Amino acid sequence: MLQRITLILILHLCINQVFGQQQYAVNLLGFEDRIFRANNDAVDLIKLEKINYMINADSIKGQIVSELKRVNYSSLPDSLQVNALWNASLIAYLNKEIDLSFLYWSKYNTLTNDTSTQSILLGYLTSENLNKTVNRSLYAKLISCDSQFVQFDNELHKSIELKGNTFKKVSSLLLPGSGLLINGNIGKGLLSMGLNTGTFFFVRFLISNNAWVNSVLWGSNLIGKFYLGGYRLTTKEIDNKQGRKQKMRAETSAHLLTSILDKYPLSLRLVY
Amino acid sequence: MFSIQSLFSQIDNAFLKHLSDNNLKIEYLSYLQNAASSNDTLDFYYSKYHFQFGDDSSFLVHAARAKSLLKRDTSLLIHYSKHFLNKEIHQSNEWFNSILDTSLRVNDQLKQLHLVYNLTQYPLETVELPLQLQKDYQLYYRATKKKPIVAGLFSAIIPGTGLLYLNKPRAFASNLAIVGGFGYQTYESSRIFGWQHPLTIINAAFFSGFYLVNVIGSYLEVKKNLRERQKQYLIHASTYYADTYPSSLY
Repeated sequence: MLQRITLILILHLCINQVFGQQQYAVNLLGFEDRIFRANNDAVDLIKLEKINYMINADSIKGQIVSELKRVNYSSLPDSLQVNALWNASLIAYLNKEIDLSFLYWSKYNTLTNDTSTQSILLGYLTSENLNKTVNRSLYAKLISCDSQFVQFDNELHKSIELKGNTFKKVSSLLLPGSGLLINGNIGKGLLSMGLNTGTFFFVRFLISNNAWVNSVLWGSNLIGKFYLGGYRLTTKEIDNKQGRKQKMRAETSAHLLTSILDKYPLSLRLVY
Repeated sequence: MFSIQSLFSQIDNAFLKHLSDNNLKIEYLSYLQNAASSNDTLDFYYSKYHFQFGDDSSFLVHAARAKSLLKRDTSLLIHYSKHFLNKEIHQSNEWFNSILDTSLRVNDQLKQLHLVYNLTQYPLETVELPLQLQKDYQLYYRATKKKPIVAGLFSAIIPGTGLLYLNKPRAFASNLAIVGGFGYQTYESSRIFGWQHPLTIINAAFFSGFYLVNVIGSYLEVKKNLRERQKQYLIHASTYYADTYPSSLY
């Protein structure tokens, strides 16, 4: 009895979510039915309506981007095309589809030649790894608006390559464990040194007793394990340190970007 | 915005093709959930839905229920059969030996696909197959004749010979060298330091371990070889029939 009551209560509490999801799917289907039956001129307008609905319903961005890709923007009237392209660029950027975002932004910019800080900022963010010339020219425009962009751009382009990586690697080959010590991994460095010293004395003991086969087989195995293993560990630890630095840079950049976006919010525009 | 009841009273194949072509999973499922049609028809379209968007297990459940409709669509049956040539063995078995029964194998292409798959279950020495598949099939057929226990016994007598039995001379040489090396190492340390010495005991433990691994490894290698040959044959068959028997979901 208690189980039934609990189930009924859970159902009662979740009923809106369950049927809300169902209604959402039915509405999408309704749009798709209209798209399927519409004549060519109206198809892209209904697709935009569908995208608007998905944005308002807070759909998964990946799903919205799939819909964005279906729209033939050039067939839309200019007044709609502008906002549709802006939304497409912004959603694609938020979904980390930077190439696509830049493509939409380029079309948007060609149409409008929008000089607002928001538009330049979106272009700057999407062109970062795609078009250096455009990116630099947009950066020049941004810094004339606000000096905060200088700090952000500097952080984005700051070299995070750690110094002395080659020296640490060579050092770990010449004196096993020393590369790790220099990198700051004291425990691992000392362990590596100890193991390699042990291997050396063990092989020397075998040779001094004329156990030639043992010395070759044990030597090759232990050297492979501890000497080369130590070198590989040094490389891995250097990469880890590099990764930590990269993560710190990403966090600082994200923090700066958040404060920029607070000042110049990039928001979706109403298409209808 | 739209009422569920007023939606689709009859299944519209062209519309479902449109949803399928545009990869609209949510809309496709919603359509089926709100369609009023016979169970057979719904199962038929649910099988298509699961084939494209879902998983093979759910597909098989619906396909089994929609056999009467599947029978009328040989192109679709060919499409599904090609898909199951190279899938999980229990799912392929269910498709070829439970769903695609004699009543569904209505043309030569379906019979051929059924034969090609079933050769992996009941291998025949001589069988008519396209030239492109014969070599892989013969390799697979020869692999079915190798016995794991024989390979294990060979390797127990002379380390590595179980791999020679599988026509793997390089693996044989390296196996023999490793086990032989550990054997000689143990002999040398026992001669110099005696059997009670820790080094000899460690060497002997390594030697025994590698010897056992060599025996068990040869046994398992025969089974692995059979699976690989079977997989290779089915992958090639799947690629070959994808081009030879064109088909589509709609």
